[in-house]
Amino acid sequence: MAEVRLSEVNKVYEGRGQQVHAVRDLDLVVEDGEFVSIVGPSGCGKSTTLRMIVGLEQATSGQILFDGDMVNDLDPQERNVAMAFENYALYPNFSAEENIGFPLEARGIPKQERRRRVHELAELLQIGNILHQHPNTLSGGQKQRVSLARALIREPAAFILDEVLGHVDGHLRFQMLFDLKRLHQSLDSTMIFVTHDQMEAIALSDRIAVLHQGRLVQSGTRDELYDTPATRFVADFIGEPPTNFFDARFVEEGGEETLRADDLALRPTAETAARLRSRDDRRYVVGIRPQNLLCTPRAGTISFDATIDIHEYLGERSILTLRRGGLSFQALASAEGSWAADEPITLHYRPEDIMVFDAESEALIA
Amino acid sequence: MSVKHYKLVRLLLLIFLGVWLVLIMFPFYFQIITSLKDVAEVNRIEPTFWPEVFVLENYSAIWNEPGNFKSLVDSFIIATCNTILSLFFGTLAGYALARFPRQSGGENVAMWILSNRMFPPVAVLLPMFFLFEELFGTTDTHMALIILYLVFNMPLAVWLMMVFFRDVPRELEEAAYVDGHKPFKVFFTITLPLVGPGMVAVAMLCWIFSWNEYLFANMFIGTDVKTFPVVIPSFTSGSQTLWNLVMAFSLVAMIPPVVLFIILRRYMVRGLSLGVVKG
Repeated sequence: MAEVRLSEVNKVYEGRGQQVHAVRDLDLVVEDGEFVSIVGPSGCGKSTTLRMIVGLEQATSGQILFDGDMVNDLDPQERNVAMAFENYALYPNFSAEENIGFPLEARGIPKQERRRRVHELAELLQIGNILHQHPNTLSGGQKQRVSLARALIREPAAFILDEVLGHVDGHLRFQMLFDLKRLHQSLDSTMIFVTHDQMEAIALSDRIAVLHQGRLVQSGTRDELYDTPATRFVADFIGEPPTNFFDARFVEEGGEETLRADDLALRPTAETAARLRSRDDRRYVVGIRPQNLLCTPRAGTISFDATIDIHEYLGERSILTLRRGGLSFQALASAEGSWAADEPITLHYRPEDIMVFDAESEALIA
Repeated sequence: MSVKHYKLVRLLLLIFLGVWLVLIMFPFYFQIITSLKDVAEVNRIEPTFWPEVFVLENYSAIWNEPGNFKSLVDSFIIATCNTILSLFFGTLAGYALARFPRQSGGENVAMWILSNRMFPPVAVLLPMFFLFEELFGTTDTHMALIILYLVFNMPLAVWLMMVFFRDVPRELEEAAYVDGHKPFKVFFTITLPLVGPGMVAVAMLCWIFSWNEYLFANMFIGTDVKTFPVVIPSFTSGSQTLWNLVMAFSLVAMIPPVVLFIILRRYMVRGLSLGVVKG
């Protein structure tokens, strides 16, 4: 297992007369034994980053280091990383067993030993009964397990998992999330996991790196990303349902400093107000998570009224879509409450939960 | 659709297929019966649709000329060698065009290669003849036709193999690289087996073209080397055409491709639907 370090990595694709800067000045460290997820919307450069780590793509500039050794010029064969692909990429003319044993074959391990290790791993992944089958006879989940087994069979510097849950649905997905987590814990291995689904990233990772338009916007633990998102993009991307955003002005009303968005006046903490006061511009983007809009008052909360538009019942919780004046936003409520459309509701929030972003750069201010 | 309608449609379909079958099978039928008639009956103005006497000797008479059997052998040598070469070059070039379009010239080069197949062969018949004459001193060799047919078969092979290689997901090769295998090993163990059925199809097309080619064969060879399409017209003498022998010999010449098709068909159908990756 190894530490993987990316240092000022750039990737530029030369298209027909145009350049695409897929990854910009990426700095990222994945510690030995750490599980790091790279998340971001489609086209943010996460897969390109992954392919550069594996060696399927050449970095245009910058350094990729495994345990301090630069691997930029090494072929994938020489880098000793294992990868599981989004579409499984199982060799269709091989049986599951041959598929899993293929990486060992490259290392000249004798057939008997290969067999033994394949069967051992198959037990762990509960695919012992399908080893003789060919990939086209396997179900999606079985294929994914075989593909994981192929990545896990050797002891690589790092495991690279590219959207491995992308084609797995519903129930199986939870099982696979559990399996991955368990594997990481038992193998104590460096794992880099790429996904566009922040749920998967949050469930699995020690640390999450958020990519947006080829740049690393923020990397940190789940709590860091959740509580202090570096930009509006991160606040929007991490968390379900997504954060409510309002265009607001910082004004003084009746001796109180407030952030005013249309009809809604949100009260920042004294600390935040002080920070805003020291700035020249008055226009901001205010964000508050639906989880932080409460239906019952608590100590230190401030309240305002709204009207219920839509009530989505999700089992243990409900998502309420609300309106106040021209604003529309969402709140999470317990499912026990009797929520009906067009009824008034009083919401409560804590001033600490208000996130203020710069209107121009969208960076977090407070 | 009601059961009644369904039956009607089925009936119409069967009638249509029946008529079609008669239309396309009739020439074949006529060829067979003609090959069994005697010369007099063949040359009668009013045709007969069933031989009055069965002359099985026709099938031994076609071998009287000792070169005739050799012509089938020559045809087989030329077609097979040409197919192997077409497939060899087509596979390599097709792979390059499919996987490394930038380095190999991409779509433009691929299109240019295919366009080689588009000009009318007659246009280059004479230039080719003189070119080969100059280069090799003679055109009357197996090698002359083997090389010449590459002009027609290789573009087809390159183009088709390119398409087949494109259908093989790149991830499979990438996965094998990451697994630690060298490119050649990956090409032969992973990629090539997946385009195997495609290669069989290409081989059949190339082989049939070389087997049947008449125009260039007639011009280039005829003394030391003869292919069977050149031999067939030789059953025409000054005063009459021995149609019965022409038909008999043609029927014999049909056997190798038919046998080949039956053998190779198994490999073609198998694995065409691969189900390799989930899209």
